[in-house]
Amino acid sequence: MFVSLIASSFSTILFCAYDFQQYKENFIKETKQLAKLIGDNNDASVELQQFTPAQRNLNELLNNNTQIVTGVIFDKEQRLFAIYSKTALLQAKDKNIELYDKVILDKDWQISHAEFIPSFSQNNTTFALLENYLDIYVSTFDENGRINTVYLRSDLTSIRERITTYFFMFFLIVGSVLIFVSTLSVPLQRSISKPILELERIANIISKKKDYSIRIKDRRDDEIGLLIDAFNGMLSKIELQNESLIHAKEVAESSAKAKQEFLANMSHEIRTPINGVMGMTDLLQDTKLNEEQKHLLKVLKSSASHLLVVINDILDISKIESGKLSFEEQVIDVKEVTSSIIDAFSIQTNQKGLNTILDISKKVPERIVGDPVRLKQVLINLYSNAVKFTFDGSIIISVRNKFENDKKVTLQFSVKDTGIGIEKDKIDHIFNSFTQASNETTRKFGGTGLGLSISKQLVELQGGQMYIESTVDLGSTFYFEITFKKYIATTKAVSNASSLQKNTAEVQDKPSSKKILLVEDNEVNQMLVLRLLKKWGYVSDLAENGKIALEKLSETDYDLILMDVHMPEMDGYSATKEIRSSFPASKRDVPIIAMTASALKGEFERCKKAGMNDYISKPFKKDNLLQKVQDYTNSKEPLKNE
Amino acid sequence: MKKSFLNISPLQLVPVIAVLFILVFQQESRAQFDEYERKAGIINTFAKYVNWPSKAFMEGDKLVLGILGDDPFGDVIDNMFRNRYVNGRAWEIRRAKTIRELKGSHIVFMAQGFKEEEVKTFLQEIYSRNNSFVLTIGDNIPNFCKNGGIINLTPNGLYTLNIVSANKAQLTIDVKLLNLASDIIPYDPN
Repeated sequence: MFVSLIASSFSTILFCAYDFQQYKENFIKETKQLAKLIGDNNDASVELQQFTPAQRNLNELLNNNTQIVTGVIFDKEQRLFAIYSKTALLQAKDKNIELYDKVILDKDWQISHAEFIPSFSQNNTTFALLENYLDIYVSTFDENGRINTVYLRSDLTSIRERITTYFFMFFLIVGSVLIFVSTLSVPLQRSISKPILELERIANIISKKKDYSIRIKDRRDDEIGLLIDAFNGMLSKIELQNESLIHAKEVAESSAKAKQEFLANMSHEIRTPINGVMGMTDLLQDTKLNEEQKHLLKVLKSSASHLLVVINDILDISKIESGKLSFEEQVIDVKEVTSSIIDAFSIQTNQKGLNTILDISKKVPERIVGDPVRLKQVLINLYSNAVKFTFDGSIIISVRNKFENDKKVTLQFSVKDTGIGIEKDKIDHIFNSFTQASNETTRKFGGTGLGLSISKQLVELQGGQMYIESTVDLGSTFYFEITFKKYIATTKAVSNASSLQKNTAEVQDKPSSKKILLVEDNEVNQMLVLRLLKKWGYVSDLAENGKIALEKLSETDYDLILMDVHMPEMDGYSATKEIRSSFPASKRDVPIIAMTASALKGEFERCKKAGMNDYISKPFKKDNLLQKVQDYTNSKEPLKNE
Repeated sequence: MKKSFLNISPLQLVPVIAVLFILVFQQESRAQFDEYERKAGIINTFAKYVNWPSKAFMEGDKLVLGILGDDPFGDVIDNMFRNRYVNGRAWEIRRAKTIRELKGSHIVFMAQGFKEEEVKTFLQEIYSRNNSFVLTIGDNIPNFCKNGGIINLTPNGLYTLNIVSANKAQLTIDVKLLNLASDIIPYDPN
C-alpha cells in the first residue's frame, strides 16, 4: 500500500514536473512567437515612425490575449514607440467606451495610466512564477541591424491554473491508486493470508493435540502451495521422528525395566548366599577362635554386612521404581523404634565420642499404626548419615506432633547433627539416586548414595515429605513428616505383632520343650536355621520339601513349622493348605511361619491366604527370627548366649 | 503583484512620465531637424517592403535610387545609405534633372519644385515603356498619385499609395506598407 503510494506519487510528481517544464517552454515560446509576430508586423511602422498603426496593431494582437498585460515596441533608438497596457485600457473601459476607442491609439494616455513602463532590454526573458509574470524582449533585425524590440509581459494565470491542476491530478491519481490498490489488495489478501491463517490454525491444532498425522489438504500451485507442501513434509518428518522416538523410548524403557528386574533378581539372588555367609559368620564367632581368627572374622562380617546394605538399597530402589513396594500396617512404639536405632549405633557413636539426644514431644502418642520397618529404615538412614558426617558434637533425634485428629496423626521426625553440612547448591542433588554431595564424599565416607534417595521416596510413598536445612560446617537437619493412623486399643487384637513382645511373654515355656520343623530345600539355609535353633535351645527337625514335611508332621507333633515357600516337589503354599485342610485337629492348628525371599507386594497376603500365621523374609536377622519363633512357641529364654 | 503596481503613488509616477515626455519631445525636435534624414529612412523602408520582379536586376545587384530635381537630402542620404543593404543589395544613388539621366533606377525620388504638368510628363515618361519596374516616390507633390506616381510622401511621416500604378509597374507592395499608407488610391491616370 505504502509502496504503491510512493510509486504513484513519485510518478505523478515526475510527470507533472516534466509537463510543467514542457508547458512553460511552450508558453515562453508562444509568447516569444507573439512578440516576434508583433515585431515583424511593425517593422515597417517603426521604420516609418508611424506609431498609430503600431498602437492599433498591438491592440489588435493583444486585445484578445487574456494573459498579456503589457506590450511595448521599442524603436531602433530604444525609444518607447508603441504601448499596449491592459490596466490602462481597463481603466478607460471602466470610464466609457468612447474613451476606450481613443485610448487604444493614444500612446501618451496609456503611458500615463500604465501600471508600469518597461525599460529597454535586448533579448531578455524573465520567468517569475512567484511574482506571476513573464517578461520577454524580442528584437527584430534586418541586414542593417535591429529594427525594433518588442516587450511583452504576460501573467502566469494559465500556468498557475495548470499547477493547481497538477495538484488536483496528483491527489486524483494518488487517491485512485490508493482506492484501486486497496480494493485489489482485499481479495488478494484473502487469497494470500487466508491459507496462511489456515496454516497457522492447523499448526496450533497440531501443537495442541500433538497429533502429527494431520495434513493440510489445500492443493495450490503458488508459493502458498509450496509452503503448505513444505509444512506437510515437515509434519511427516516430525511424525516419523516421533515414531522412532517413541520406539526408542519403548526400547529404552523395556531395557531399563529389564535392567531393573535383573537388578532386583540379582540382588535377591545375591542376598541368599550373603545371608548364608553372615549366618555362618555368626555361627563361626561362637566357636573357639584365636585372636587373629577373631579379627579376620570381624572383617569378614563387616564386609558381608556392608555388602548386604548395598544390596538391600539396590533392591529397595528397584522396588520403589517398579512400584512394587507396599507398606504394612502394624503398631509402632515410637520411643522403642527411635531408641533401638540409637542403641544400634551406640558402638560407633561411643567410638567417635558423639552424644545422641532423643527428644520426643509429650504430644506424640506412644503408639501409632504404620510400617515400622520402613520408618526404621528411614531413621536409620538419616541417623547413620548423621553419625557418619559428624566428628564432634551431638546428634538430636526429635519427634514432634504436627497435626492430629480422630483418626490420624502427623509426626515430624528430625535428625540434627553438628557435622560438615551441605553446600547450598548441592542440597537439591543429594536426594537423587547415586548422588552424594561430592565425589570426594564417596571416597571419604563410603556409601552408595542411595540412602537419602530411598528415604525420601519411602517417606513420599507414605504420603509424607522430607526436607533439609543445612549450613556448611555447622551441620544439617533432616526433617520428614509421615501421617500415621492413630493406634486404637482394638488394633492390638488384630495385630499380635512382633514388637509387642511384652504382652505375649507373660507365660513362657522353655525352648527345649518345643519342637520346630524346618521345611527348606536350600542347604545353606537349612544349616543356618538349624544351627540357630539349636543354639537357642530348640529341638528342630528338617524336611527338604512340602511332601516330606507332610509325612513328618503326620508322624510327629511340632510346635512350629518354618516353611520355605519355594521348594521342589511341593511348595510351601500347597503344603500349608494340605496341613490346614486334611490333618487331624490337633495337628491342623500348628503355627506356620513362611520364610520367603521375595518380600514383595502381596506376598504376605498370599501366605495368609494359604493359612500361614506369619512370615519372615529372607535374609532375616537372627533376632527377628528368634523373636518370631519365641512368639509362636510361647517360649522365651533370657538371651544368655548372645 | 498587480496591486503593488497599482499602488504606486502618483508622486512616483511623475518622474517616469516626465522622462517619457522628454523622450517624445526629443524625437519630435529631431524629426523637425532632420526631416530628410527621416525621409531617407522612409525610402529605405519602402525599398525593403517593395518587391521588384527578378528581371529588374539584370544589370547588377545594386539598388539604384534616382533623385530627380533639386536634391533635398544632400550628403545625408549618401552617408546613411553607405553600407546599407536592402534585401541583400547595396544602394546606389544617382542625381539628375531628367528622366533619361536616371535610366536604370529602381526608385525615382521626385523632389519638390516641379509643376504638376512636369510631374505628369515625368511619370508618363517613366511608365511609358513596358517593364520599367520603377517605384516612384513623390516628396509631397500634389496629385502625384493621381498622375500615376506610386507613393507620395505627405507631412507627418504619412504617405499615399497608388496600388494600380504599382501593379502596372509590376511591383509587389508589402501589405505592411499598404496598412501604413494614409490613403490608397486605386487610380489609373489613363
